[in-house]
Amino acid sequence: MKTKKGFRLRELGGDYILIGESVELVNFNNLITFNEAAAYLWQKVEGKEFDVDTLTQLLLDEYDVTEDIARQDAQATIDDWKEIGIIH
Amino acid sequence: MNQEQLFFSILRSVLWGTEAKVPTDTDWQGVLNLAARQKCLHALSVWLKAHRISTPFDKQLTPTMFMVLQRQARLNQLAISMIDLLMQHYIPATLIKGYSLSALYPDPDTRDFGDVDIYVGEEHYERAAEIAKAAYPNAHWYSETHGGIHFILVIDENLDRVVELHRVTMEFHDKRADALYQAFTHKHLDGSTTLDIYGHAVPVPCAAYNALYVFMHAWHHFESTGVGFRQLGDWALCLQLAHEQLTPAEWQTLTQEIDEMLTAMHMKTAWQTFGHILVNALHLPIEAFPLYTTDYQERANRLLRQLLRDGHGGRPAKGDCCLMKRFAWERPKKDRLLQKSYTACRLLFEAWQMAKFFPDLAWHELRATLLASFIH
Repeated sequence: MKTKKGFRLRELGGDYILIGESVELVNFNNLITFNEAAAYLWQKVEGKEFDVDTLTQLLLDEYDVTEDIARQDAQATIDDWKEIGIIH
Repeated sequence: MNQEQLFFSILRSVLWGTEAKVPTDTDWQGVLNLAARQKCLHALSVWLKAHRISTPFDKQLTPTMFMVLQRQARLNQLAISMIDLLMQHYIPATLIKGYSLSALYPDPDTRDFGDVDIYVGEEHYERAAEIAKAAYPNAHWYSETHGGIHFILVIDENLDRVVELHRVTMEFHDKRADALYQAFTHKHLDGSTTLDIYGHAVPVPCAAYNALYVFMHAWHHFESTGVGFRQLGDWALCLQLAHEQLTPAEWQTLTQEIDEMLTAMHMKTAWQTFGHILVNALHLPIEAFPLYTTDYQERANRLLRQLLRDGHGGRPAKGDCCLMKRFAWERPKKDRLLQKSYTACRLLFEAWQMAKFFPDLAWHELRATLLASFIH
């Protein structure tokens, strides 16, 4: 899976907003804010192929968590992103 | 530091990237109310967030700020689509105001806008309107508002997707002034300046054009119901950019063009009075303001009070008799005689208000408007 093109991640005072900017996203009406972990993952995988193993490893690299928790969080993130339509 | 001083300190930081010290005991309600009146609330919100300065109103400000950022993106997408559509039909289209001004800011996200303004010119106006209507058959449209300057297409009111197609950018009753201004427009709005928006090269006005046009647009708001410092901040940035981009000879030519037009419009004093505020309140460098003078300092101080009181569109119908007031009555819906009487009263009232600051201009505008009405 991959992130959809045309998004810009803007950081403001520790909060993150994902803004749909390309003309292809003209009908995209969701307002998406990320926490720090989600923003970190997005920045790492933007424009690249990834799967749950990719995100799990990224979380393990950055945060002090067990592999089980990292995998759960990675899957939850993918499910969220699919639901709001920012990956395909 | 009082509320106004803090507001201007932050606004200058928004415009120029300078440092602004925020006292710990700030009355944020007062400062944010002032910013809202000046159409600068979004700019201040983004600035505060980016500098990690908390206010008691963050729970309201942050979601609104994020929604505005997403709205800007939708409007930019609309601008790109509409300009591409018009260009496909060989209609030269220029994005004016809106993002063409936001892009001048150190952080473009700080400057919000509410619609898409596209200049197409007199020659292509009718055809552009027909093309836009055909492309968006479900949109509502209003034609010939603001005295026939532009056609408004409301594509989606819920998502704030509104396009205004402009026949002209401004129009003047005085024929000579209008001819000079339209010639200035034809010279400078030639499509040669572009701005990258999401990978698309979008035609925008050059800095020299905006140096005058943005003032004229701000003036139009000032003379009716009040103008906010968002537009004056835009103007300051346009002037600074023009000063940076033009050679000394080109700057001299621009200054002469502006001088000639302002003299024909009897607006030189107004330009210089507003300029005093740009230099002294917004800290625009003097050399970046054409025709700068300190001759109107007292008038500029009074004007500043007017601007701070009115904000954008907020001029009251009652108040301090030395300050301008808004004409309070509604235009009669029927009865032609009553409507004509209303128009005459309104013209006289507004000339009287304008004369509190710019008496020569007030008389000239009244005369030009009456002559134009008489001829029509």
